[in-house]
Amino acid sequence: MAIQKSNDSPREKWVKAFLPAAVIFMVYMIFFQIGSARNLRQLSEDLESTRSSGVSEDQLSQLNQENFELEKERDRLENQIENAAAVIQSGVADFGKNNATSRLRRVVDLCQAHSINIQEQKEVTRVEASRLRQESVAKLNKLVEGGVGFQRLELFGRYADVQKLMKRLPDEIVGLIPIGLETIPQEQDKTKQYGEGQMGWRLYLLL
Amino acid sequence: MQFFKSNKKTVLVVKATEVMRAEVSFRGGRMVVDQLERTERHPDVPMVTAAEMAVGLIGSNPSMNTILMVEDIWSGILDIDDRSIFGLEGAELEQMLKFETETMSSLDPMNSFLGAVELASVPPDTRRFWCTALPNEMLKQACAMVRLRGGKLTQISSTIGLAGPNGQSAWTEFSDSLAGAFIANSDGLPRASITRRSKQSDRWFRSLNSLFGGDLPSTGWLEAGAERPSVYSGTLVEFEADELVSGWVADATDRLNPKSHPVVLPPAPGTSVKTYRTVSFAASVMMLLLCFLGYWNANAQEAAIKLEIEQLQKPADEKASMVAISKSLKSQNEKLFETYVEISGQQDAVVMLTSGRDRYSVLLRLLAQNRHPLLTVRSLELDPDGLVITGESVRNDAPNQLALAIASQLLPFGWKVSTPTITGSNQMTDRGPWKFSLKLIEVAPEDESSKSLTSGKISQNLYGVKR
Repeated sequence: MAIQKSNDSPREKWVKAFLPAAVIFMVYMIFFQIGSARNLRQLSEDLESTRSSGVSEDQLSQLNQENFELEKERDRLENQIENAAAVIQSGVADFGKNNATSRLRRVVDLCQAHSINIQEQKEVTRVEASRLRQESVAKLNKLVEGGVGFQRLELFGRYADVQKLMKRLPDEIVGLIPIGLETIPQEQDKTKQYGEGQMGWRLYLLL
Repeated sequence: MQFFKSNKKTVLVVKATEVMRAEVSFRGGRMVVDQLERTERHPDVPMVTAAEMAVGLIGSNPSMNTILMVEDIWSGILDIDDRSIFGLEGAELEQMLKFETETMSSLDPMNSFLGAVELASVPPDTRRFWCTALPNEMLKQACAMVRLRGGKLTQISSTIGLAGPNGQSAWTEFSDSLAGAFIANSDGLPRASITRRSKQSDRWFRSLNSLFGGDLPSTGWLEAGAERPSVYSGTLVEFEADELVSGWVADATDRLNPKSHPVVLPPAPGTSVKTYRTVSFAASVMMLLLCFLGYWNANAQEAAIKLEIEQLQKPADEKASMVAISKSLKSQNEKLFETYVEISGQQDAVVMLTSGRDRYSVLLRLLAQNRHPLLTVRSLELDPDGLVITGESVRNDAPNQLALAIASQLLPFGWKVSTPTITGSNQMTDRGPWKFSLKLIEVAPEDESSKSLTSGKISQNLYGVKR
């Protein structure tokens, strides 16, 4: 069988002439076009994905408005907390056990000034008061450094004198609160002899 | 063939005694000779040299559609039995005609080119062909000569039988050596008869007449210098005046058609190595450019998409940032609110305790001021809900009056006065005296105004003056 040799026909020559261009095209396709097409496809998918999850100006504006409202709310809360703290600070500054003795001495002085006898003076750990007031006392106790103290006084005096005493006590003694006041029934202690118009009183003080 | 007629053509005519070059163009629906130059030809000058002389008659390069009309190439009529060429056509028929004309043209069939056109057949079974042939070498030389002058040789034909005088479609031609009679049918095959003249007898004329198959046309050409045949009775126009020659060139160029006239078409020249290399280089450069353009375009597209993604991403990033800020603010606000609730409770407690510290003084005063003279307050007793006031009254409406009187004034101090409980002792006619119990229930401060009440303000409210 004869081996077919190249006859350099025009067709063969034209094929050879266009071979370099074909090689260039193949190299371009293999090393550039395929990778580039892949990148483009990926980028197009990313673009579609980004478009589908696009954010409108309205959404941004709404979010901005929400954040603005939240900031306003935060500022309002901070101001309220500051104001409340200031109120608390000013309210509790005068309380505490440090000067309790001197305040108590002034209580005694005022009782004497109004001809009110103190039959019993006792430090107590809790006061007989309404639940609401006891809860408030418990909160105040936490706020005051060292806690607050309670005194229970059993007094004998006339109604009008006691009324004046109850007016002067908070007005003149800073850091003292009459937390509870009740009368002592006479039958509880038959030995006690009250004077003319006098009544027995039980006073709870927070100081 | 309007396409070719519309182009400018160069017509080179090589006669036995003269050569001419005409520049022809298609204008106004017909061929027009723009320029015609003629010169004499010496009988010893070879055909190719004569053609070169013709080219040189006009300074400009011959056109890319140059036609060479030569008198001294062989052209003749060939009758063949139909059976001998039955079924042949194209290249096979041409090859057969080459062999058949070999004895008349004395040209080697293997080294010659032939153009042929079939004429009207001769009944009953003879086909007639009009053939023109020339040696390969001559054709190549003629093509090379025209190409070297910047033109391209596209057609070669014999000068005989191209056109009649004044555009007539039937005519005779008499040159010094040839005689011919022709009818150019617009429909059907043309008729032609060509024979070689002889000075010894008139047999050539009878042969011409016989071969033509009828009466010879009454008009015809008589080549310049040729002897008028005495046996021909028609009118002969001498091929001499420039106007006549120009008309002949125009008509001949117009009628020159391989389908109606034997024309030798030079083979297309082979593509040179230089051409291949040039095409290869150009194709490579073009491909490189295309690839570069494709690469640049792809990069540009990528950049455009990336830019669009980036632009679309900006609002998304901004949204993410704002959402994060929003979350942070909400978290802060929640903690602040918890703190506020806690500190608000503490504040309420402090305000509750510190405001109205003299409220027992107020209570004792209100009781004293508002009690009926027949009502006696016996005791005040602390209770888990607040304070219980007990006493006795001669009148049963006095406790209610007392409760009504003090209720509104004690509310700012955190006491809500309940309806008194009244019980009669049945010691009097109206079932009195009456024991009563009045409960003051502790309530939280009602609003900010109540929180901010100081003892001074409260006293002012109660007593009408600031104490």
